[in-house]
Amino acid sequence: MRLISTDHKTIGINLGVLSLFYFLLGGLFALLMRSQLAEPNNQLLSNGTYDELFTMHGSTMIFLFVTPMALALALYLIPLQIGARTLSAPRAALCGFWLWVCGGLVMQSGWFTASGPGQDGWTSYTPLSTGSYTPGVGQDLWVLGVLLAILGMILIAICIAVTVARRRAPGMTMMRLPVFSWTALVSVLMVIGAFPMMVLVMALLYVDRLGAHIFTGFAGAVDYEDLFWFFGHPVVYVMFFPYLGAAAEAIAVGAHKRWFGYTAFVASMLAFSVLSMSVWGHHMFVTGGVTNQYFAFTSTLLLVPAGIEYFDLVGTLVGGSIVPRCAFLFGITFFIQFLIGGLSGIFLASPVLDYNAYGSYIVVAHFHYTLFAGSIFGFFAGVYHWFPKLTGRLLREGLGRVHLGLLIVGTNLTFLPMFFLGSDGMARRIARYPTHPGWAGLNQLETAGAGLIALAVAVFLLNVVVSLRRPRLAGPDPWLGHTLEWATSSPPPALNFTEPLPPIRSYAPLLDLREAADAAAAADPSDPVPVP
Amino acid sequence: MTGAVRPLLIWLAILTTTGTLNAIWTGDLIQTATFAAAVLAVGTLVLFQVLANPDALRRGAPGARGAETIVRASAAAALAAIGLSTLVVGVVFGHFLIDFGAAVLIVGLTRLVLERRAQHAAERAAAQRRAGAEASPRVAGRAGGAPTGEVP
Ligand code: HEM
Repeated sequence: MRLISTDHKTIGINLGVLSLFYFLLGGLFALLMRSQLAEPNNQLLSNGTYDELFTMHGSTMIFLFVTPMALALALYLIPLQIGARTLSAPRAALCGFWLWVCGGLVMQSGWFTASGPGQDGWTSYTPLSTGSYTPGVGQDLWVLGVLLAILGMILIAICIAVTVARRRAPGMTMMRLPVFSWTALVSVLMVIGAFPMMVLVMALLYVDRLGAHIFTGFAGAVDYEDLFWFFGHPVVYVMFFPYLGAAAEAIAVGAHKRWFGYTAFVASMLAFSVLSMSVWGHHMFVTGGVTNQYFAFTSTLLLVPAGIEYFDLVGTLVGGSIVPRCAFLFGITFFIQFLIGGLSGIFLASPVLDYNAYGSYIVVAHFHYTLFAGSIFGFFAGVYHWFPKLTGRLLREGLGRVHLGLLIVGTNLTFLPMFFLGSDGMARRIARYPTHPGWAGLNQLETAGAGLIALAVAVFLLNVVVSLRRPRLAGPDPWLGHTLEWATSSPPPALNFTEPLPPIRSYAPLLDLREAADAAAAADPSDPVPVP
Repeated sequence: MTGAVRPLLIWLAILTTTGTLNAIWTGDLIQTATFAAAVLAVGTLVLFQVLANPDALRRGAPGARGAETIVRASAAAALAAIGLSTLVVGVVFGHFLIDFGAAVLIVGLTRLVLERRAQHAAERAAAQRRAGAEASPRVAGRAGGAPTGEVP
């Protein structure tokens, strides 16, 4: 029954749990790659297997973990945060979930074919990915798997957008949507705007592979890249915004202050999301097929909304009474770690510098600081923040701190040396590198870092098991939350709310109540106002 | 749903601006077409919302929702997705899967239509009950949005 339930919480949890499984699978592929790269001229894996691994690692992480996990968070939380009982068009969301499940299975089933799974990178550039250069069923399955998974995510995104439009509780104006809901809303708009292009591209690529010569005929390789990156860049931000929202909520609640500069934040999210749909050509500077000035200009403009997010972060922290619980600490780390990805992005947004960095490990370092650090720390901030809501149980803070420490060290040990290797000329997507002064040591550090990341994830899983087996009950609102999901039981009942909602007069209605109670108590200490 | 589409219109306006800038600056037809496709996709969503409820354009807070039926599960939705996926994979593996997938898809879609009809019928019945209840204030219809303590 769980698998055909149309309850938004159940679909969200199903999607989240399966995505987490894919995170482990994608992580396993990464560990295999790092083992191969631990030594120069290592013979552990063949070139072909390495190609398959980086392709399936990137594809699994992007199409089957970070993006769907962002949608899973939105599916679970948005109806609760906006005071809705149900999702709009829940059957469409369920259908989308199943399309995504089938897409994942189809993509991974390539491992069981004679030709192996997809092997042309997560970008699957033409002409390499056409039938002439990559024959075999495995690549076909990759193309169709991606197509199905994307189709499923579009359906889910539409349901979320319509839910925000139609199901907000009385009093919940758009300018009272919680911070997380805003970040998720702009993300689903990007999914609706940009993802259909990927469905088209994959369909065209498949037809090309059948022999129709689309990208090797009237359209060329640069056209493929243009269409692909029109999806490929926005997806990077879909993998960022909701985690930014999760980190922001965890930080605001941890600082016992409302998120600073709400109106500027909303405006910057609108601008940020649209701009990030207008910068895709920076992935194509070296092709000579795009107007570099336009894309360098729009890419550099991204700095403005990004700066506003950081300004809001500082504003929230200043004067807050901070309780540094795990959720808060993960949230802060998210902002700090993402900064490395963001700042290196400014350099790569300059065509002159990109000409030199393109295809090197500098790019691998940059996108792991944005895609990995810029999602995973926010994701864990969200997990530590909302796990009690989902399960009614608290995660262990001690294990959480070990988890955080290992993840910080592991992340930087793995990805920071890549900048140095890249600037020393180490190319990406190579299974073997020659004995070159300094390369072996840095690569060994990276492999050790990958092991630490795996250990951190193991500690997290242990934390989940311990917290579920020996529960410490959370109650409805263990953190003095700000938003409506904390006004209901943990876990929430089938139709989300059994009690009347509190008045909604801002994006932090529960904090409003508490502040009103404090003000009343200060005015007349003998007559305290009860807080519901 | 009052006010729902106003921020979406702002979003579309910014996208149209960057798209227009792209068209002027680059003159690249494919890029202009991709921008237009994105504007069209989100614009269609906005249009549907406005057609469904013109209030979406008004400023202000949403009011209480009317009666609605709650959908708890749908095997049909899952079947339709599995059918479509099987059909698509059949393109690689052969006709059997295409036929099988198409059959499952048809069963799923048919069931979906039946489910929707039953839902509409239940909604009509609930609306009628509510209309009857308005005469007698002791009986209330089930509100779709959560109850709220907002003072109007
Ligand atoms: C959310 C998590 C992650 C995401 C979204 C992600 C994404 C990606 C992507 C898109 C690629 C490029 C694939 C291609 O070239 O087609 C890639 C490559 C790679 N990733 Fe990750 N990754 C993640 C986590 C990790 C982790 C935790 C590690 C290390 C433990 C790692 C190690 C690598 C390695 C070694 C490569 C291959 C580099 C090359 O040979 O070019 N990744 N990743």
